[in-house]
Amino acid sequence: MKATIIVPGAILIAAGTWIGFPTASPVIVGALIGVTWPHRPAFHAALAALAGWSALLGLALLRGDASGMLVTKLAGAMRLPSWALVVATLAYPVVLAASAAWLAHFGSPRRERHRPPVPPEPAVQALHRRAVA
Amino acid sequence: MRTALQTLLAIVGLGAGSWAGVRGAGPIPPLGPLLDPVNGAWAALARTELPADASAAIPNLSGPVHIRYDRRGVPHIFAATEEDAIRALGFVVARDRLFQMETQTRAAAGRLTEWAGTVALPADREMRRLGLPASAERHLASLRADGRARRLLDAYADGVNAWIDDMSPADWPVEYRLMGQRPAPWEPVNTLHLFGRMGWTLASGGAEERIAAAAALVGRAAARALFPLHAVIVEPIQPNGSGAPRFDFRPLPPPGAPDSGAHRLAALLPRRADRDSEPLPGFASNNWAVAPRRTAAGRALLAGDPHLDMTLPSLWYEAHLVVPGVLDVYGVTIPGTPGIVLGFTRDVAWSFTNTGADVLDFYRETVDDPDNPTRYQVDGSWRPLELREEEYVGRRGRVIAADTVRFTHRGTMSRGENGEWLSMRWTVLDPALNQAVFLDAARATTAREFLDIIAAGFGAPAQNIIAADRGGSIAIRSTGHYPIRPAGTTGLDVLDGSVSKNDWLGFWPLERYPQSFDPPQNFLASANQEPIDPRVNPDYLAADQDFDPWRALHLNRLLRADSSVTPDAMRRYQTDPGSARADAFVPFFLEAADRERMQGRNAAELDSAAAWLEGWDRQYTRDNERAILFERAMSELVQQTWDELAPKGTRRVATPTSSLLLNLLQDSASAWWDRRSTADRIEDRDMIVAASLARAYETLVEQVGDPREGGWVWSRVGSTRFDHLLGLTAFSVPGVAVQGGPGTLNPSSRGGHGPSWRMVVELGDSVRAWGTYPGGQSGNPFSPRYVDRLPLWREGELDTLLVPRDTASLAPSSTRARLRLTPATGNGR
Repeated sequence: MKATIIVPGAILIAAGTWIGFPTASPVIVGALIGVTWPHRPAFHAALAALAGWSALLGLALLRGDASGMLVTKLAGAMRLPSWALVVATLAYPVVLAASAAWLAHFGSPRRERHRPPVPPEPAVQALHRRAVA
Repeated sequence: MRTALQTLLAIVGLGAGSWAGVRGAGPIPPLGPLLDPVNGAWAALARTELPADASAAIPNLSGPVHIRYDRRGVPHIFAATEEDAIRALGFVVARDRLFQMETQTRAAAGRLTEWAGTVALPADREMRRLGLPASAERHLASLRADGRARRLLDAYADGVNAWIDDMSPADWPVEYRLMGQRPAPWEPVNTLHLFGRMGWTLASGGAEERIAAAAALVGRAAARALFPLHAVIVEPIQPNGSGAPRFDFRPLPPPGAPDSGAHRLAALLPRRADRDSEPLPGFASNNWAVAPRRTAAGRALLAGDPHLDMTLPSLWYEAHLVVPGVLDVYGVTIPGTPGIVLGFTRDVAWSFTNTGADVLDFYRETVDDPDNPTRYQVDGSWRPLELREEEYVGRRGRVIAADTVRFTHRGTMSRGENGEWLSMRWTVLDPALNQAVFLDAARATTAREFLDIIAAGFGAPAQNIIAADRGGSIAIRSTGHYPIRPAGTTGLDVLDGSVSKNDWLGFWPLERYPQSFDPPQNFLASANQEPIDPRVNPDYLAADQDFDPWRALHLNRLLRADSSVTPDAMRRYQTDPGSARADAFVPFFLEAADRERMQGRNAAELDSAAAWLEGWDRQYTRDNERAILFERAMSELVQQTWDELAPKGTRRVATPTSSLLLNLLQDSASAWWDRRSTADRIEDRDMIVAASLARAYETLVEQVGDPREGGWVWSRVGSTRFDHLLGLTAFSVPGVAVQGGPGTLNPSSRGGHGPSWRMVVELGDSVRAWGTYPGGQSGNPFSPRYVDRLPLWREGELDTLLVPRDTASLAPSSTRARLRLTPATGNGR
């Protein structure tokens, strides 16, 4: 787990959401992580999204006198239990960011450069040696 | 393989997530804006209170406006001009109630489909086919651009739109998020839509439909007797000097043969979707005033409690407008309308009850082509129909349905189930309300002047407007436009539209209105009873047939018994648990039980029931254990008596009032007592009344248990509910037990109707006032101000209303928040 990618990712997602792009920001930041981060990008993008929206949600709850009763009321209006509303809220950017990261990583040319070296097959080695000779 | 699966999942996750996030799916709104912790639904949790100090700019404001919210969340608006005060009113009401304003406007304008899709189509069609939106648009177009009424509508819109522009998405009411919508700009016509809707609620009649439905089963003569032109118990709003109710009971003709013509007529008449065949037990209003000679302090007192739909947020919003030297008015406004509808100034106080006058008549029209009419016939010649194309737009902006609404010179025309065309003449569709009338009337200094100003600008829905003034005068007038009909007709006939002689001839002149000024009895009271004694004026006016006179009887009894009335007594009367209806009916049950006993026909249930009912104090207190038996017995009695009005296996098509039932009780052998289902015997009154009581007892024991076990408390029945406008259970308050029952001044019901605002005002050198309404000032379901008034309202208590003359008069300890409005640079939207 790398804080160097999760923290900036979370900040970017939170900032994007703050200025009014709740759907676009997890997607864009997830894609960026997918392109730039070689190691388990979907996982890290998911963590960044989770951290970003958890912080925003915490802030929203702290700013108001949002007791558990009010969360229950809000969830009730959507016909959900409270925990499900919280899970749905946090799962939403996570799914978007992780999916975007995976696809961006999969389609990125950099993915090849970061592939670990693989020892050649014996038959290929033989061909190689013959060609060199 | 694994990578392919993961990729597929990612594609699905991103695609579905983005789609659901931006566009939503089916009934699910876009998830991004909904779940967004900053600007979405969660934001509503962080905006539950008014900021302690705030400012905003409003276009066209002539100078700064200072607003102080008191501890109860009431804005006191101090402005330099009347129009500025109205701009500020628009701003503060929108700040608390924007979603309600838009929802109710959409409902009135027939535009709910734009939010809800096809599910709202029937409701929208009803509004548009009635012609209400068209009427509002015509009314707006008829206003002079620089006229006072139009300027007030524009000023109000300035204020509302300033708030809409001022909002960040985080400020949007949570309901917009839940529906995936955004606030629309406020148009001046919206106010007119709201008044049209109010007219539809309060003045849309229904008597023709009831009589036709009843006549189809029991014949015309019987139907007319069951739904008479005049009340059978007379204690009118305009005092008749008798000092007591008069009972104009008369024998009822027996049920006759079904009338096939009436059957066809019943199929032709439009039926309101929200109307039941049962009278609405909680739909009622009271107001009364007491002259100084009968008050303890020697000052005029006035009380009012209009009974309407009790929704969350409340129908009303409380506000105080001060324009030095011009206006100083306190009371409640309907969110979306520029003025105080019910309230008081330092000189005058007033309140309304519904007159229920019949101001809607139907005409059978002769048309050129029944399937697609373009012309209708009058006096032998064809006239073109005015056609209006109505399109209903769905959630995605596409047209989902279209209608052609047709208008004759009388009003809208609709097709009945039998294929005939019917037009209607309805005062609510006339531009009969001057928007400035409430503000003009608030400048009056006497009760009479107040009523005269109102009468000049208020045509529909007709209201019994009571007023009292600082000089000690009290007055009441049933104000509205009452049609003068052709000789020999009443509003209960469906007339031939092909002749112009059947058209209305005009409206009653003011001197014919039911009214009274400083009567010798020194008090005045209205509770939706017939406004005038038919012996004084036999002209047909009609009080709403749903309303019985019981509240009026009880109120007059209370007022006659108290010659030293205090404000606190006025408050107590509003929830007095006594009932003239119970006093009238209980003896019949007890006597019937006695007589059945003497005949040897008494069962054990009847003896127990009679003993239980005899011990009742006839009070509808919440812990009362006997009222429930009486009400169940009354329901049984209605069901068993009016079985002729319920075709086999179906519901009753119409139900006569309980005062008509009392009329019938005077005749022990009337044919109406005989039940059609028992062909082998003939029942009489006592058999039916006693059987109803016994059956009520029996079913209660079955359902609730033995009465001595303590389960028969009235609060099981005597409760009401407050539904959120969208019907969201989480934002609603069900099951609020109240004191009162059918026929009392506080008729409780499970239907969500009741006293939507209660007020008591004492007028003297200084004005003192008390009031409350069920709910709270805020429309945010998470705000502590959403239902903060409900506990007080439930107990029948009132808050003291603060009436500061200027900003300095409201003590800091009484101030909850401040708001300063300044002129915006630029000039509006």
